[in-house]
Amino acid sequence: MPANAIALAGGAAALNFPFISTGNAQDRLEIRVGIIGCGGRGRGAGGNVLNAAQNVKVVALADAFPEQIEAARKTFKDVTDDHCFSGLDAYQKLCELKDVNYVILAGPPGFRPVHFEAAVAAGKHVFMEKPVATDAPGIRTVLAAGELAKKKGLHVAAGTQRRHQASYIETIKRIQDGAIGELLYLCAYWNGGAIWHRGDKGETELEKQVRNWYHYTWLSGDHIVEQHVHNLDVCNWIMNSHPIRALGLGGRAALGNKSGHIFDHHAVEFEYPNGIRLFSQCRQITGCDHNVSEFVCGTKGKAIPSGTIMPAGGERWRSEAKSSPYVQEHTDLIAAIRGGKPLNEAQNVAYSTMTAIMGREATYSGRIIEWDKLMQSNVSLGPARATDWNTPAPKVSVAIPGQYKLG
Amino acid sequence: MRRSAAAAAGAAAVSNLPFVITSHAAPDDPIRVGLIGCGGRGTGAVLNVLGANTKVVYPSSGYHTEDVAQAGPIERKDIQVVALADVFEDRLNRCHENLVKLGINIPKERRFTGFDGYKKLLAIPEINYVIMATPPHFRPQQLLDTIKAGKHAFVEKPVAVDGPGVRMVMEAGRLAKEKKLGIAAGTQRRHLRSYNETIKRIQDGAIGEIVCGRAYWCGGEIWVIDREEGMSDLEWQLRNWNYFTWLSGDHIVEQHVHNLDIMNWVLGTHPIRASSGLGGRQVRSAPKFGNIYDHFAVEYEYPNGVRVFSYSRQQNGTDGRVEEAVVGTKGISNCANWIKPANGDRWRFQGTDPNPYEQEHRDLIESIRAGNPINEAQAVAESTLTGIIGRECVYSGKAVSWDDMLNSERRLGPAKYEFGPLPVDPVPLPGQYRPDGGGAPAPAPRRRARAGTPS
Repeated sequence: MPANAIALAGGAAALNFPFISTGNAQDRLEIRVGIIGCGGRGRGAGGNVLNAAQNVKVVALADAFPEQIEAARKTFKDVTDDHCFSGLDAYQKLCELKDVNYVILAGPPGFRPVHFEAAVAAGKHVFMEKPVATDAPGIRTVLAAGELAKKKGLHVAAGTQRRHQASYIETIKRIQDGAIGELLYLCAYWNGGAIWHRGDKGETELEKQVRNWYHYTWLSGDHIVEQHVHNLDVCNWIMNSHPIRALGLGGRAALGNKSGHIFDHHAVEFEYPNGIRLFSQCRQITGCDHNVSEFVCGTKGKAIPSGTIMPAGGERWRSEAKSSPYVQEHTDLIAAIRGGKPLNEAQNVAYSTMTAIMGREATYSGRIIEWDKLMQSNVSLGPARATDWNTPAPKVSVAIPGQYKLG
Repeated sequence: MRRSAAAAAGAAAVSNLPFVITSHAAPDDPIRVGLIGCGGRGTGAVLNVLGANTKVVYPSSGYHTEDVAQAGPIERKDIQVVALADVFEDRLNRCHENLVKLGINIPKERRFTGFDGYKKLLAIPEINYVIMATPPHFRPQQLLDTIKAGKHAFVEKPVAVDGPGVRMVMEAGRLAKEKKLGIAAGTQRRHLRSYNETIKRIQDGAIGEIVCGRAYWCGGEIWVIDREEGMSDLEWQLRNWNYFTWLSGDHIVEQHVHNLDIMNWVLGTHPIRASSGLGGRQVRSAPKFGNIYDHFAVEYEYPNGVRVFSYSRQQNGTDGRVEEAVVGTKGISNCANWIKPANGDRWRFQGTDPNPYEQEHRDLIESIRAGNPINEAQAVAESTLTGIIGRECVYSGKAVSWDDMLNSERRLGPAKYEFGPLPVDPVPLPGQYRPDGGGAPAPAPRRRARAGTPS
């Protein structure tokens, strides 16, 4: 299964990588990285990939905004002028570069499906940040491109980095091997403070929204998708499945009249096929309690998937493993590219993203949302394929439960 | 346990009551009822105690009503209605008109209005059974006064809106025990055979050890009373009491207490704390909805690491779910009428339930006549406090412990009840609201989450 495949790949990487060259031609394959989306995360991922293996260069940059390129070039000195692209179609130009074989996708999530599709079509290996979509059509695009990548022999890793974190891998293996018996329920939390708000800068409405992308559901998915997807992904990993329905409550308590329309809190009860519940909470309100974690309860004990098993009446086990998952996810991907076990996380991250989208639709609408039905939805939230800043931007309003229209 | 007593009383009631008087009370010593709070529920409760059929209507605006379904004299020698009290004369009169339809006339000198009307009612010596259906804010003092006056009590749920009120109800419960007085509460699920039988099986181990519970009151909006010209702040708030935290406790307390009560009942204890809660006022933002929220999600921690997850909302057009569930190491149950063991066949409750709104009175009256009155004060006080810690957790965005809130000195509402100006408290803002009522310092932006970055 995916989790085990990753665990094995991780283990293999630890044995073979990063610094021992075995003489195999694949091991010497130069990884030439192009970054699509040069904000904080794109630049961070670029730094991570440079530390992940030898013979790696960041050679190309693309971003909707030229100033982001300028900022990124201060870090990535190997990038030449003709490998820099800005504008909404910058990603297309970067994908056309023949000397790029590894693309990092770190633009706003609403653009991810289109970027991923283009990268796979151009024959690139892909590291894509989470989440990978903000609506069901986007999810279907990602799933299709993920399948195409397999056929083309391309490898895909996702920024759900807990899947590459040794402590999670060890603990979840033990849970799946029965360390706490049959699972009875799970919890997932991302309760944190308020995030940035960049105001309304831009010459067109579309530019204003893209610059302040976190606050628009079509671009970020809302924070339950953008941020909490990490914790939901851990639960799907443990369950080796995805929920089939969701009931949720949420709202916008502290954001007030700031532009944008995302909620600042969501509480969702997800139901897996066997009736097991996942209780999820996420909040972005400053001054409240912080909790970013997951929890599992079984018939024979409890566990914190990040590294602790508490068997009922037994001795507590703690993972000693230490690793930087942000580097490891690239190490694992490069190992796959250079001839290790194939790696394709597109479906896992698409399902975890879809889980979060289902939760969001539940809190926005106040309705009980079914996975199968939502998966068929044809509602695209925004102009993800726009290449012109004058493209009309979605008219947004804060969702009112009981009145919000489901697709 | 109280619940077993109630269950036993319930079973006994079926065979003996309501018309057989035991040796502890002579046939000429009937239940003589005084009603405090003559609104829809109060009217319904007094009709329930008489066993009269009611027609219950929950409109979207205007008062909810529980009226006489069929007019005609009612013959109840063992139960008499003696006096009525309500702050508002129009509310009292409407209730009285219902009683008149049953041939029950309360003389004018026994119909009391104003804030001290209930005290005059309690001063009537022959009243031995007081029904309290005032807004929850008033119940603690009225219950304590009722017990001090030596009368049995039926008190609607919830029984308080704050820590001091909860303590007062617990004190009333202790005092009632000393004085051998009965207290029944409007958490009427405790008087259903289906719940009693199901929960007994769960407590006998039918699903192993309980690891988690779920409680829901996801429903629509309830009635609103619009402000009319000439109404003072206080009058409008009293008439529209559901929408002000100081009066109703907010809907997690006022309504969801039913489901939280089941959790406390089935687990045999109360939570240690409300560990994490989210909520807000997403739909009902207009001033007519006062200052309460329209949705709450709370995670509670009970002893031994048991967790209860609670969801309550009042939003029209959303999907409804009003129920409970428990998950054990060996199965699951809805607490109400079925149990599904992990390995084995599903058990279902096969019997029939009485009207629980009548049964709760039958159980209380039977227990009084048997000389061993039931006393639900502690249980309903605990369930009310369970709702209160959940509310405070959601309002503040911080964990709230049972002990802190039980011992809280913060009393909600005005010090004196006088018709006149009473500004509406601001809607609580998580991160700034403090359960102790202290000032709201602008919170320092600590550990600012960096969106778009992994963590």
